[in-house]
Amino acid sequence: MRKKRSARKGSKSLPKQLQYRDQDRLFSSLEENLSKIQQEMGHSSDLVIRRIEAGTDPKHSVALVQIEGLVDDRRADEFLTKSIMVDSAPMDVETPFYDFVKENALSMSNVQLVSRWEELFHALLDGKTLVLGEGWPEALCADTAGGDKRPVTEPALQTVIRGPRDSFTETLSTNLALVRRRIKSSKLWVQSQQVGKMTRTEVAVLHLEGIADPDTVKEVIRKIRQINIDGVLESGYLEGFIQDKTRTPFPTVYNTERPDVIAGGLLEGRVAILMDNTPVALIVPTTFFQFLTSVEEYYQRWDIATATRILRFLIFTISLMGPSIYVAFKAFHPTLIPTELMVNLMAQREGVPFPAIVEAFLMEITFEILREAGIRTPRPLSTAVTIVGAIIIGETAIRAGLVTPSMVIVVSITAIASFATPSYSLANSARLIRFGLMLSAGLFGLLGLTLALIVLVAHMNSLRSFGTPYLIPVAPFVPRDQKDLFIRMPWEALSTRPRTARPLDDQRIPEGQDPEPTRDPKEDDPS
Amino acid sequence: MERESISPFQLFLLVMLFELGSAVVVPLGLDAKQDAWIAILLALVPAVGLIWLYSFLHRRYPNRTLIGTLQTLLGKPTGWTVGLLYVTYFMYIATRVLRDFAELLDASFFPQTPMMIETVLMVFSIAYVVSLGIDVIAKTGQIFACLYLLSLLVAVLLLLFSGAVEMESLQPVAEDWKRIFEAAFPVVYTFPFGEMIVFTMLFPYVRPKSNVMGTAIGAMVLSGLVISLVVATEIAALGANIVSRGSFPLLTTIAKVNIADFIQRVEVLALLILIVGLFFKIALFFYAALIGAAELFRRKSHQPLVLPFSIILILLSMMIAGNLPEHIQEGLKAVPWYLHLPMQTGLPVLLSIIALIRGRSRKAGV
Amino acid sequence: MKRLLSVFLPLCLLTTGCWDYRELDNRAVVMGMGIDKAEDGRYRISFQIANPNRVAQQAGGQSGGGGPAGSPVTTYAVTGSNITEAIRKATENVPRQIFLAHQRLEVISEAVAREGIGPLLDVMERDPQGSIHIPVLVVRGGTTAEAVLSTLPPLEEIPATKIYDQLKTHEEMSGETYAVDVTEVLRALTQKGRQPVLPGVRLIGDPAVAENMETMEHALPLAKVKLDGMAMFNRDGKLVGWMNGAAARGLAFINNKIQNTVVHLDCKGRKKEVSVEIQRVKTSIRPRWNHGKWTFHIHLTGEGNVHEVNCPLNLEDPRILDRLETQLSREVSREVREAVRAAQGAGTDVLGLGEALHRERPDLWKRWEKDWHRRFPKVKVQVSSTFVLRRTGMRFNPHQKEQ
Repeated sequence: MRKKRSARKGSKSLPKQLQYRDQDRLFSSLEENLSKIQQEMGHSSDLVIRRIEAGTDPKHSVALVQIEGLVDDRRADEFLTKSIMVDSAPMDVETPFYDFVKENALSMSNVQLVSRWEELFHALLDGKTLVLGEGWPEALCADTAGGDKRPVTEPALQTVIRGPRDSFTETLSTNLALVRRRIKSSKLWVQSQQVGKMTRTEVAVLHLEGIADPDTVKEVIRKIRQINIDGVLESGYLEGFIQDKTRTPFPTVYNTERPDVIAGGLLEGRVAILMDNTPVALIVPTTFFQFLTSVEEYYQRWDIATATRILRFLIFTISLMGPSIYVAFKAFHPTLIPTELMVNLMAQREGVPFPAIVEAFLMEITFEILREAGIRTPRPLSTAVTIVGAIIIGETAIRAGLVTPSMVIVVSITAIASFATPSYSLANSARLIRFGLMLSAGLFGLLGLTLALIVLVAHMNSLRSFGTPYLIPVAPFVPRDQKDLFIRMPWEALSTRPRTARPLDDQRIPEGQDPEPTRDPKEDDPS
Repeated sequence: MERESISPFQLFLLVMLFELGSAVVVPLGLDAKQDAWIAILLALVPAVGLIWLYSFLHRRYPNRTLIGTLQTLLGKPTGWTVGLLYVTYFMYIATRVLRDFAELLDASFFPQTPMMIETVLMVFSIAYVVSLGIDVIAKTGQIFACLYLLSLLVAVLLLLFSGAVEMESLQPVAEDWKRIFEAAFPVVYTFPFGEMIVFTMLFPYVRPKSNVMGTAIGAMVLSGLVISLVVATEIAALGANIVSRGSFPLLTTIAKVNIADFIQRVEVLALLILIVGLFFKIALFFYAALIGAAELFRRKSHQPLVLPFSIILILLSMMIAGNLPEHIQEGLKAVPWYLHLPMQTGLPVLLSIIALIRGRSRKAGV
Repeated sequence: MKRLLSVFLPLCLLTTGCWDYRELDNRAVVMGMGIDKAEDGRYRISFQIANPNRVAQQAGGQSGGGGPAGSPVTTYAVTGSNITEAIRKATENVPRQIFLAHQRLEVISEAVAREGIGPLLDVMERDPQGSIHIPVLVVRGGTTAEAVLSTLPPLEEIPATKIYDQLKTHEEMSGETYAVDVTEVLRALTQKGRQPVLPGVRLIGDPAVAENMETMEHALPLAKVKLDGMAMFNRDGKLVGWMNGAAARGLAFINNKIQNTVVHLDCKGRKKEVSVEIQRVKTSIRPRWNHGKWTFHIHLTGEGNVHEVNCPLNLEDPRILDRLETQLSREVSREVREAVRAAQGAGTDVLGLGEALHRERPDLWKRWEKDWHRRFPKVKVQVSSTFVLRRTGMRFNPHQKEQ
C-alpha cells in the first residue's frame, strides 16, 4: 500500500527535464534541437557541441553532441571520420546527404538511430556520441562510451595467497567480461535492467541456465524491478532492497569483489547480481556458513583447507564472545578458573578503578575508535594513529593501572579474530552482537550468555535468504552437504552441488571420477 | 509460505533434549539406592507402550493435535473442556520445570541473584524463541541438542578418565526388586517418560510422516539409556547416599573431575546442561500450551498469546511453592499420582478405546 | 508484542543490580582452612587467605612497581560455634568476601577429630562452590591446625598448596598416607559397612619459628610439616586411633590406594638390602563360609620391579626371583595383616569388610548390618597375596659378588 503511494508520488515529482510533451520526437531543425538539448541540460559545461560543416557540395551543417569525460575520444573521432567526414568517398549527387551518412554510419558497429527525446538523452548520458544534422528527423548515435576507467587490480578486501589476483572494477562491462572469461558457456545468461530513476544504474543478473533454480532467478529479477528509488550508488542499496528481513544484524546477501567467487557461486546454482559503478557484486541465496568460508579453501589441499576452516569457526567464536566469556568467568564464576590463573588475575586487578564489565566496554569502544580512525584517517597520518593507539592503550593505560593487562590481551585477540573473519560484513555483525553479549554476560554471567546465545541461534534460524534457511546445512540438517561445511572433502568427493541454492542439476562430477595413480612408465616399457 | 514442519531427525533430537532435560540434573529413581539406574530402565518398558498408544492415536488422526483428537472423540463440549485441562496441565508442568530451573540455578551458580530475575530472563528468552514457531524451535533445538549431548558425553568421559568412578558403589546389583519397582512407578515412569504426552501436540507437524512412532520410541529409549548411564556414573562417583540427598547431583559429580590437577573445574558443563536442557523442556511445554490454547480459542496464530502466557508462567512459578523442599515434595508425592497418571496414561487409554470402538462401528456400518 | 518486549527487557536490565557480580579484588581467596578447639569449647577456625600480589610476584610475574614485600598468605583465626558463623565473623577482620571455591585442603586438629568430624562436614557438602571435593587432614601431636597452616614452606609459596602437593606426591610414590576428600568421608559415614580414615600431618620443629618469614631464608628449614599415618574414625565420626608405618600402608593396600610404592626385603640375613617397587596392585575382599564361620579373604595381586640390590644375588636365576617373589608377597601380607589388626583393635571397620559383605551377600548383610560394629573386631580375616617380579632395571646381576 505504502509502496504504491510513494511510487505515484515519485512519478509526479519526476524531474522536469525528463518529462516530455506530446511531441517527444526530435524536431527537424538543427538549431531547435541543439537549443532544446542545451536547455534541458541546463547549459551544463560538460556538454560538448561541435558544429561541423560536412560534405563538399553543398555543405551541410551537422552537430556532434557528447558529454565530456564519458566518451572515449579516439572512438568518437573514428566514428566522426568514418560517418561524416567522407570527403574522399565519391558522393553520389542524387543521394541526399542524410541518407548517405545514415547508410554509411549504420554499417558500422554500435550505431543506432534515435528519434525520441527520451532515447536521445539516455544515449547521451550513457556516454554515446550523437550526430544531428539540419533537417534530420533523427539523430545518429554511436556507442563511444569510455572515459577513465580504473584498471583491474588486486582485490583489496578478500585477499588470497593462492588464487587469481583480479578483482572487479567500477565498470559493469569489464566485470561481466571477467566472469564470462571464467565460464565460457552459452548457459551463462545475463539479464540487465536499470535501477534508479535518476541514476539509471545498470544492474545485471547472472545465472547458469539449467542449473540455477528458475524461481530464484525470477524472484531476484522481480525484486530488483520493484526497487523504486531515485538512485542506487552501491550494491549495498540493492542488498537493502532484496534481502528477506531487514531487522537483523546478519547479512543475508553475500557480497564479494572477486570474480572467481562469483563464478564459483554460479556453478553452485546461485544467482549473481553485478552493478555498474561498484566493484562489489552480490550472490543469493546465501547461508551463514558461506560468510565463514574463503575461496582459497577450494584452491588448497583439502586437509589444509579443513584445518583452516575449523580454525575459522574458532576465530568467529572468539570474535563474537571473547570479552563476554572473560567477563562472565572473571566476575561471576571465578570458581571455574584454575587457581593459579585466578590468583594471577586477582593480582592484576588490584587497584584498577573500573569494574571488569566497564573495563571491557571501555577497551572495546577504544578499540572501535582506533579501528574507525584507521579506516578514515588520510593515509599519511595513519601510522601516527597506530603509534598513538598502540602506545596509549598497550602501554600507558596498563602502567597507569587503568586497565588490567589480561583485559588488553582479551580485547586484542578479539580484535585480531575480528580481522581474521573472511567476510567483512559478517565481522561487522559480530562486532555489533559482541556488545550485546558483553552486556548480558556482565549482568547475568554465564546464564545471560547462554540464553543470549540460544536466542541468537533461534534468530538466525528464523532468517531466510531467498527461501533458503540461513543455517542450512546444519539446521535443517542436510547430511549430503556436510562434506563441504566443517570439513572440505577432497574434490572428487564434492560430486554434488550443495542444496543451498536448490539447483536443478545436482550432479557436479559424474560418477567414477576418482583420481587414479599415474601408471609407472617402466611398466609400459615393451622391452 | 510453506507450512511449518519438523523433520523426523529434528523430532528425534527434540525428544532427546526434552527427556534428558531435567531428568539428568535432579536425582532420579534414587529411592532404589544404588539400583536407581535399573529403576530407570524398568520404567522405560511400559513407557514404550505409552508412546505406542500416543502414536496409535496419531495414526488414527494424523493431522490433529491432541486437542483436536479430544474434540473429535469426546464431542465438542467435553472435548473442549478436557482440552482446556490439558492446556492447563502443560502450563503447570512448564511452571514446575521453570521453578526447578530457578531453584537449581540459585542453589548452585547464582546464590545472590533473586529467583525472579532468573525466571524472567528464561521466560523472555523462551517467549522470543517460541513466538518464532515450531520450525525455529526445532532447528534451534537441533543445534543445541548436539552441544548438549556433547557436553554430557565429555562430562561422563572425563569422570571415567579421572578415576573418580568406583564401580563397587553400584554393587550389590538389583538388591531389592520391590524397592526398584517402587522407585520406578509411578515417579520415573511419569517423569520424564510419561511427559512425552507433549509430543502428541507436535506429531502433526512431523514431515515426512514415514515413521513417527519409531523415531519417538527410538529417541526415548536412547535418552532412557543415557539417563540411566548418567545416574549410574553419579552413584559410582559419589555413592547413592550423597546423590539421593543432592539437589543438583550432576554438578557435584562433575566437580569431582580432576585429571592430574590439570583438567579440573569443568562445572561449566553442568551449567550448560542445566540451562540448555531446561530451556527446551520448558519451551516445548510452553509451546504445546500455546498452540493448544490457540486451537481451543480458534486463533490462527499462537503469537498474540505468547506475552500473556509468559506473564502467567512467571507468576505461577513464583507462587506454586514456598520453598524448594515443598516444591520437590509436591513433585514426588502428589503430582505423579493425581496429575501425571490420569493425564499421561488414563485419558489417552480412554481415547484409544473410544477410537477403537468408533473405528469398528464405522467399519460395521459400512 | 515485540514493542512490549523491547520496552520490558531494558527495564528489567536497568532495575536489576548485579547480585552475583563481584570483582576478583573483592574476594578473599581461602587456600586452606584449619579447625581447632577454642578454649571455650567452640571452634577456632583459621582461614589461610592468599595475597595475590605477592604470589604473582613470586611466580616470576612482572613486579607491579615493587609490591609490598611479605608473606604470600595471611592467616586469620576466628572463633565460632560452627563454620558458617566463623566465615561470617571473619569479615570483621577480612575486608573482602570469603571465597571458598579454591580451597586446597582442610586441616583438623586431633582434639576436634576426637570429638567428631560430623558437624564440620555438612557445610562443605552444602556449599555450592565445590568444597566437597577437597582433602581433609588431621594434625597429630598436640599442635594446632593453625600452626600447621601457618608454617611457611621453604619452596612453595602457599602453605596449603604445599601440603596438598606433598599429600598427592606421597600418595603416588609411597601410599603410606593418601588423600581422602569430604565425599569419601561422607560416603563412609552414611553407611555401616565402612568407616572413614583421614591422613595425618605432624609439625616438626618449633611452631613459633615456623610462622616467621625468616624460615624461608634458612637452607635447612627449622620447622616443617610431615605427613604421618592415617587416622581411624568410628561410625560416629570420632577419631579412635592411628595407623602408622606398615599398618598405614597395609590400609592403603586393602583400600586399593597404592599406585606405586617400594617394599624392602631382607637378603641373606641382612635387613632391607633389596628394594622392590610395586605397581598395579589389585585387592579383593571376599567373605567365605568356612568351618561354620564367615571368614574374609583379602587377596592381593600385583607386580614388582627390582630397584636396588645391595647384596650379592644372582638375579639371572629364576629360582632366586621366585624366592624374592615369595618374600615380597609375605612382606606385603604382613603389612596388610598389621592394618587388619590395628583396625580390629580400634574396633572400626576402616577396611570396608562390611561393604564387601554387602556386595557379596546382601541378605546376610541385612541381618548383620545393625551390630556390625560389634561383630567386626571378632571377625576372622585371611590375607594372601601373589606378586610377580617383572623387571630388574637396567642390570641383571648386582656388581657385588659373593665372596
